[in-house]
Amino acid sequence: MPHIICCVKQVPDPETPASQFRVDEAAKKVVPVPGIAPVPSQFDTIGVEAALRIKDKTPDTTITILSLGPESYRDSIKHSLAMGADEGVLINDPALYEADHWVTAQVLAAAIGKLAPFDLVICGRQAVDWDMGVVGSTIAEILNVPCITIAKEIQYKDGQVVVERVLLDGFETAESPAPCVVTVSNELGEPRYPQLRQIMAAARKEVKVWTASDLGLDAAQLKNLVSLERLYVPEVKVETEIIDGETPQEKAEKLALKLREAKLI
Amino acid sequence: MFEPTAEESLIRDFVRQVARKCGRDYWLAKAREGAFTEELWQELAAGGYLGMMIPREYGGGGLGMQQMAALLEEMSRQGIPLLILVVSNVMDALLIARHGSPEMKERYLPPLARGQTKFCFALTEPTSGSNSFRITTLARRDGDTYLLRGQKMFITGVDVADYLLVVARTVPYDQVKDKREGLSLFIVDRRAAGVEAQAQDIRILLPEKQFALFFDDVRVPRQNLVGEEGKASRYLFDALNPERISAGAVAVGLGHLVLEKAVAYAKERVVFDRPIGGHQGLQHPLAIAKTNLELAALMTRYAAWLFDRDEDAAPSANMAKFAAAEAATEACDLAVEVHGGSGFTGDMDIITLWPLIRMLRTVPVSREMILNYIGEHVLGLPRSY
Ligand SMILES: Cc1cc2nc3c(=O)[nH]c(=O)nc-3n(C[C@H](O)[C@H](O)[C@H](O)COP(=O)(O)OP(=O)(O)OC[C@H]3O[C@@H](n4cnc5c(N)ncnc54)[C@H](O)[C@@H]3O)c2cc1C
Ligand SMILES: Cc1cc2nc3c(=O)[nH]c(=O)nc-3n(C[C@H](O)[C@H](O)[C@H](O)COP(=O)(O)OP(=O)(O)OC[C@H]3O[C@@H](n4cnc5c(N)ncnc54)[C@H](O)[C@@H]3O)c2cc1C
Repeated sequence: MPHIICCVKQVPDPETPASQFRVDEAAKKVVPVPGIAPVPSQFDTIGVEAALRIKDKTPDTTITILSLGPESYRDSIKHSLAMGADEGVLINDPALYEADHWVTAQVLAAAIGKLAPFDLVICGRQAVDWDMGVVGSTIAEILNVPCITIAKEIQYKDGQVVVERVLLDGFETAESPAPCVVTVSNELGEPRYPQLRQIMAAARKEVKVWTASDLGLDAAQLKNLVSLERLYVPEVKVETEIIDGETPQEKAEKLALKLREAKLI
Repeated sequence: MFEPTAEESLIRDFVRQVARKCGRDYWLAKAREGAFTEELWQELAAGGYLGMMIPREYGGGGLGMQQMAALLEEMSRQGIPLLILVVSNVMDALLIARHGSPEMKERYLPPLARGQTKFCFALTEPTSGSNSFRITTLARRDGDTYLLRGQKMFITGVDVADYLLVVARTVPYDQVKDKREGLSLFIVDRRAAGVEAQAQDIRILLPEKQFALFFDDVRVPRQNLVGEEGKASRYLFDALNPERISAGAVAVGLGHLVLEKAVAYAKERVVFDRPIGGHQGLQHPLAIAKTNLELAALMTRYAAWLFDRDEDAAPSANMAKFAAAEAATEACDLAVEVHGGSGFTGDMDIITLWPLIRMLRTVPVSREMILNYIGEHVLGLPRSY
């Protein structure tokens, strides 16, 4: 029976109106908007969808949801369980709250090792908060398994993973033996909604909680490689110029000239 | 009971996700063209949410009013409330599940849970709204059937429904000793001979319409009687209390929706030298509106919690409906005020919500009748009418 592990991060709701987005420059943190609940990162939910599609075809598949973050991340695990995943693991350790992508990948890789055997690890192509897009491939590197990025379709059969990858101008098919890591993109399609029945089951399911020491990791050794120098909202200046003219043709001509001057066309 | 359960949070997640596909714009477009939001309905069905209050053995989720209230409140907060959800899948589903015969449950509940059928609830009549005991629609026994004759008003969703749950008298009002006796409940096929429906001119922007219904000696099979003949008044409150809790949840959700718009605007709009939300003349009313909405939300949760524990939910259901409708109306009026002239534009989508929010003060039961109830039954004061 195949075992798929999906890494799910929780992020501030990207649909939060831009006018409400604030950062605390001194603390170098995004200020949570009161009343707007955080959500699972969209690409990660798509990853869960990809795993569920494999489970639809191979029903004895087990899907484990893995998250690194504080207690509130439990909501995103429950969301994934309500979509149809089987188990949830939360790594909650205050020493890891400020983890950069390197430490995150190390911790997740250690947890994946503890959850082994596994056939497939699925991550989002990037998290929709910081858009770094490195955790998936770093996990593969640490685990020393192949990695296929930016998938629009994943098929799994008899120990072989077949992935359709998104390219700038088309698609390509890549294959790898399991176990491997695949990162998914939105081209994979809409994630399914939580079903009422699964919601009831998910609400009752225990989420395992591990700390760094449960993973045999010494939190003190887990040193960030990246340090955040400054966090700020860049000021965007918009200058408006109305192009005038007698006829639409004349306006278009003037506009084209302007755009050429600005080297935009 | 102050913490939302894991189920409630997931139900809200689901609603927010559905609202990305069938959201406020979709709902408004349907309401404007006078069409039902069938796609939204089917999303609810596919997720299993229409059967939420239907027992598991009949294909439902076997959940309670607390989870339903979370669904209704979140749908309203997303601007996609549906009245027929309350009528069909809360009130009628509960009446059939609690008082229907086994054959009746087997026949009607699974398709209701799957979203294949819808029910109306037909109680109000031209001469009896607040005073339900005075209804005159009469069902006379005639062999193996009843002959139904009379008229109903303001019935939601007749055009999209398959069945009507009709409250009728089997003994006329002037022939009973106790006015509570002689009321009966029937499932009537919407397409039965002698049923006629006329759309009413109701100026509330909604994807559902209201209808006047005429029953001209409609033949209703005896097995369509829900529960015992003449005893419906004992069952009705199994539907009317959940209806009040539902109305409370809808009002809380809509109230939050308009208040959030007001607050966002008050933070941005500068009329003199700072955002208008910085003037106490607006800030304090906004703070009061928020407080009243949160209080109403708590009372709605409490009423739902009592109902789910099979305790007497009537006092709190009435108070929740009253408080929520008042708070939402106050929030909507304030949201218009905060927006100044823009509050009256369709773009802002606040004045568009006003009739619906204001309706909740009067429907399903008016504030006066609620105050009568609280005065008489909670405070023990003399009956005032
Ligand atoms: C949009 C909409 C949808 C509806 N959907 C349905 C439906 O699906 N099914 C259904 O059966 N009905 C439905 N109704 C009807 C609704 O339940 C009634 O309108 C409501 O119960 C009030 O009854 P009424 O309109 O007859 O008002 P009335 O009973 O005529 O009352 C008029 C006013 O007099 C006041 N009043 C009455 N008695 C007293 C008293 N003793 N003391 C003080 N004041 C009093 C009332 O509070 C009210 O303000 C709907 C109505 C609307 C507007
Ligand atoms: C149907 C309609 C017809 C109209 N016809 C005309 C017309 O013919 N000619 C015309 O010129 N205009 C017209 N108007 C515009 C109308 O006069 C303005 O909408 C009104 O003056 C309010 O201005 P505003 O919309 O800019 O609101 P704002 O000035 O933006 O005010 C928004 C809110 O902030 C509050 N506020 C502002 N300052 C303070 C403060 N210092 N302390 C506390 N609260 C404050 C306001 O009271 C209000 O609640 C019309 C508007 C409508 C809706």
